[in-house]
Amino acid sequence: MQVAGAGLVSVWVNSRDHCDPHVHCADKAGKWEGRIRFSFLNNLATFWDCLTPGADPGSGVFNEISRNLVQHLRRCRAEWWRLHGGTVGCCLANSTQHDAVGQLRRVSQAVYDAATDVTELTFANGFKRRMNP
Amino acid sequence: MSSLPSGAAPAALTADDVERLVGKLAGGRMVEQVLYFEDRDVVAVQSAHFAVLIDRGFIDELRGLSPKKMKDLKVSAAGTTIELEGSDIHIEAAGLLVDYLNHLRAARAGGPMLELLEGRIAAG
Repeated sequence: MQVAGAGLVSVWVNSRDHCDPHVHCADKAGKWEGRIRFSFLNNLATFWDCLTPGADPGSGVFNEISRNLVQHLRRCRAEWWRLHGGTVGCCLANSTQHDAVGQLRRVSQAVYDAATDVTELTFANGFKRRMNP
Repeated sequence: MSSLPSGAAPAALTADDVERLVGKLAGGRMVEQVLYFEDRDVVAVQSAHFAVLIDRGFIDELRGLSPKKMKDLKVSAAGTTIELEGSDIHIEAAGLLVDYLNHLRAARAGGPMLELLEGRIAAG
């Protein structure tokens, strides 16, 4: 995937990766690389860290990439779920989220449907909530 | 090398363990380079201080690729990703190493190397 930010940058999701859900991004010249977090519950993309401290393009570049990534988050979620649905999934299990009536409850399972871009949370008490970011 | 107390289960390596370990050894870069050896169909993953040879068959992401394509494997700027850009393949290097080291542990192979790695992680 290509996203604007200091020119066009490459954005990808790694297989065998770990939580939180995130993409890696890098410039075309291969000088710097960073990570941007996203969620299966909302459309926020936030700068996580620069992995090349010796060649850091600055937070302005990563913030621009984060802003431009928002329109691609559905694809990011789908790719993350394709690669990690059988392992870490949405990284929401055991987190605390609001249920359908606004009560904070522990999530026992989270399942993403790429076709509808909907995440279904199943809480510890068995209640479910479907969320469309 | 110390041995586990009786009844203790050996801890499994996690991606964070390996990332911390290799990052320290390599001055921050997870992996320096990756090479494919066609004659043995193995992938060499090289960090600053050691290299691991991994049978290509162990790496699901690389199955079915031609030897010519395999020669295009490279490492991302930060050394975190093993990638084959034309084929849209991106593998977290720490995740691959942890999967392979845990595979060696399960197969009870690679004893001295694993003991060295675990000793360093415990000391870190």
